[in-house]
Amino acid sequence: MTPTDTRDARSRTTTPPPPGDAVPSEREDPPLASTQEIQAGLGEILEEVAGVTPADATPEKSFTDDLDVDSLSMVEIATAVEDKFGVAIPDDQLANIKTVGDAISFIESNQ
Amino acid sequence: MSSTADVVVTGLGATTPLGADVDSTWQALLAGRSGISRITDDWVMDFPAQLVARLAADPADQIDRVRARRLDRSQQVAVIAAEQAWKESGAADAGVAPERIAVVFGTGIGGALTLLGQDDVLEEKGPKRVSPFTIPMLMPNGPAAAVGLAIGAKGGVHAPVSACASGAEAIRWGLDLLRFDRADVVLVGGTEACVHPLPMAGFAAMRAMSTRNDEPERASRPFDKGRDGFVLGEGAAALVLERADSAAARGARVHARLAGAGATADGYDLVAPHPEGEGAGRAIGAALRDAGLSATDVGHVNAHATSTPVGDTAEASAIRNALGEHVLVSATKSQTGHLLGAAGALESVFTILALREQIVPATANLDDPDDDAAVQALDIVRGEPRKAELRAAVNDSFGFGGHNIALVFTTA
Repeated sequence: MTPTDTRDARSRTTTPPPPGDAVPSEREDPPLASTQEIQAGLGEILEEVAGVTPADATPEKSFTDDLDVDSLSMVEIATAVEDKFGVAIPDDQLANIKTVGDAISFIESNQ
Repeated sequence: MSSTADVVVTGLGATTPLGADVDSTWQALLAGRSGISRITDDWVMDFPAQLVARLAADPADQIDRVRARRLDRSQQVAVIAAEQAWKESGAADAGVAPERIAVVFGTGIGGALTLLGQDDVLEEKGPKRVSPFTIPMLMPNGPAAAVGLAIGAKGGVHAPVSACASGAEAIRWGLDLLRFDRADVVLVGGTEACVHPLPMAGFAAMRAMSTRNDEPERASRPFDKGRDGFVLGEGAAALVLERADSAAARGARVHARLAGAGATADGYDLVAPHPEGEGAGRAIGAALRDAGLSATDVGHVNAHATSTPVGDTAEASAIRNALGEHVLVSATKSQTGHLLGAAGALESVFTILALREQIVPATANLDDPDDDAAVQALDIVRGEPRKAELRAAVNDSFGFGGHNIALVFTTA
């Protein structure tokens, strides 16, 4: 059986955690991340979601023009940012985030 | 342009329970190997039917990780098979304008793994956690669209959906597109990857699946007295079609000619086949007329024969009535399992290779042919593959809904 199948199978048989445990408590009040930590964390997200080499995820890079990140991947990135930094990016703000630097600034000022 | 233009097959691709490509699949088929095994996951414990024909090669080993995570498994295998066929055809280097390249790729179930997996996410984590790729991964035209992007097709991308006839229907549509000059090259095929508790439970509830759980490799036994249902398989197969004159002009290798196609509907029942295969026989007859051939020209039939009690005898009657008793019949699902929407495409690949190599694959597990008169009358190849002088061969494909497709291939 492949990983896909066992994952599907597990999801059928595993009881979901109670709602109160779904979000680890430290995520509710995360320590503030430095600019370098945010850039590194964003780099990890970009690698996972869009296959971007972390070294390429520098502040001046445009998500669409330079890193080939499409609009649906931006939605995934926003979800991952919320998981990692506890910062939710509203849709109207997401549209204004054009570069890696924009994302870093948004996370920095909203964490 | 001519509505009777010769159409040829210039590329083949597949990833199946028997192999990661066409050659390994064909060699395993001729060697009599089975792609069927028993599921060992916990969820299957209270399932009546526990058998499956899993892919021989994990798609994760054949496709880039970032690309794969945006594609449902049915799309991944479609793209793998399509890129194999496309590469083999050499069409990419032939200078064909993207606007003259079309895709027709069918599926029976579509992105079931994505649909069901994201439903779990929805229930466990809520709507905001559902992937933005959910819809493009589950839509039934998703495999065709992914294949179209992979080869840069801009001449139209189509997705026939006719259950287990989808793969064969894609080939028929491709033939029409070329005959009516809608495109110069058409990549056609079928895909399926829906091994998951829900489809397994649904097919089992229809009493359509084999429950011979203790003998996986002997479970799929078309035309045999002891058959008790099909075994669900996964995989994809693809073919590159083009008009004979342009294929010859660019010096393409031609595997076989796609000489004709016939499509009918039973008009009888939503799922049960007509007992004498009336609609199936008409599809074969229509395909022969379309090809300008007579029944005596046809030497081989790759049967749809899924190993269900009713379906196999109905098809045997259809073959006997439409073609006679001289044809050499193979039921390759005995080794591959039933790939649903990919079945017609994969079995067309087998039909083409039988013509090209002049050898008819054997039907595994046919120990004791059914007492049905038509089954008894037909020459169903068993034991070992049989060498034969073949000029034309037919591939049958039928789907729930009463869909019947017959395709006629001839030697290059």
